[in-house]
Amino acid sequence: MKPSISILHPGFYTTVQDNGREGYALLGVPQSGAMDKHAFMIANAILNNTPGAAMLECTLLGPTIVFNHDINFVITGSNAGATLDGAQVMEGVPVLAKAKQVLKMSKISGGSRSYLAFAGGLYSQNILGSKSWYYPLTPQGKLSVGMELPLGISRYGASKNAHLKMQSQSGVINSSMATIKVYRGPEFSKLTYNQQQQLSNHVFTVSNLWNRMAIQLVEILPNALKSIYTSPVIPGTVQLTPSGKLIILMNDCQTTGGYPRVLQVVDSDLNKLAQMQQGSQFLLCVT
Amino acid sequence: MCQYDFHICRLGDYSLLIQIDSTPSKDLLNWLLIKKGDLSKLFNAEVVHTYNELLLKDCISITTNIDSLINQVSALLNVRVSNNDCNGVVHQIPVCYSSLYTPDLEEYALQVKRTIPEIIKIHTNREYPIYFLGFLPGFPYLENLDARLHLDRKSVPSRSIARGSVAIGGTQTGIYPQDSPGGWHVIGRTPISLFDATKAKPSLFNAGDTITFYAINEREYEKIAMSNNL
Repeated sequence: MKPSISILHPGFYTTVQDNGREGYALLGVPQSGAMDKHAFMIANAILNNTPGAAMLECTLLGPTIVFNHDINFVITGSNAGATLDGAQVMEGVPVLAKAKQVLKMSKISGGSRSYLAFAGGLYSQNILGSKSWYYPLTPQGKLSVGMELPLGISRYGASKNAHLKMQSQSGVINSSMATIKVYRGPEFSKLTYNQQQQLSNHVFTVSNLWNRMAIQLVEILPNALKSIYTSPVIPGTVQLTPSGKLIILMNDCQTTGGYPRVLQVVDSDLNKLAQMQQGSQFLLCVT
Repeated sequence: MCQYDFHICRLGDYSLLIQIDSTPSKDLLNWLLIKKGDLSKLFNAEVVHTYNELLLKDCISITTNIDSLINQVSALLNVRVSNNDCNGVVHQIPVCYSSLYTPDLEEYALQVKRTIPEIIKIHTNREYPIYFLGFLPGFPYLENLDARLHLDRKSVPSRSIARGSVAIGGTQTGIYPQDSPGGWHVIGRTPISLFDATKAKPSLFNAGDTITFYAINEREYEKIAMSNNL
């Protein structure tokens, strides 16, 4: 029997993610891929997986799964309060699960996303060069009860003496107020001096509209900017709508947009944004 | 022969954005398509273009000398284009303009003050060049909609516009390749599949192609839809 896992409870919003799709933006296909790339890379490194091996990205509430085979796994990113047949599972430490054991993840704390990776990676069909789920491009949009996900061939153990030392786990924020570094966007110069000042060194709050496509902020920046000709956007592009809403585009964003692009988030700080949720606050810092 | 002024800046840590100092036009589209091909060949990078911008994706790494990269890009863009004709494919797309598939058609007809046969005649009477794909996988940005059919987008977007819907938003017409929320007025539906992610060439359309529409009735629609599913 090929190694696999079965889903007993899907969690709040759990998807399969890898490094995402490259080469199809010109057809309007979103990039997708793991939101917190740091937590994603660490999980694969710990299990000696290939760097882009697919895993589960869990949001707010993790899934409950049963192993159909003896499998090494690891959880990275935010704390998921996981137990394996009742025994506590530490984040960042690989664990060997025996066949029929049940891994239960609970409410995610310290951030909004945890990553559950398996030695050998999740093995599913590549669609346009990626295993990342994005409905309806891929047949599934999120995990559901009863799904069985096959796993790939594991090389775990091939480098037994490997040792991973790290200062922080991921984009998980430990200090009271995170700083998000941003560049000036293509339309930044069209803002007035005052508006430019309001975007730098001010505190912003994540609204209830946050998902894999975008994070909308609570604070409003009144403006009279004209809409632009529909133009390219990428994850990290910050759009300003006519009503003053600031929208930070994330991994599943469209490839083009017509709102002025006032800022662009420094790539490595997207990992911090990936761990935020409604009510999270941060300082914007224009570099 | 044509030449455009442009401005190059970075977009994020890894990409370059080229902004062309010109309003959108068919000539600019042809120029963009030629330059896009040259850029992706030279830098082995993914290039996304829109009405008047080019995005050179992930062309910057930590070892890149930015100034020399920008000089290289500028030199390439300054090479004069001699043959400015791109021969795209012409797609003839069947559309059923029937209220069976279009909850918006009658309301739209009232608002533009045209009868439904008039709308069909005007909409099928033009060639629409595809400027680029965006918004959804395989969604074509089309130009050249007759001014008599222009109508501002709905103030409240529809929750779900069905796959294949042919719609009008502002001065543009377009086709939804998949179910999606949207603020455009749906005037018809095509039974043709526009995007299939399992195919080597997933998109029926490419930038530079041209679309024309022709009207079919409900029976013809069902017949084509059936044969697609086989």
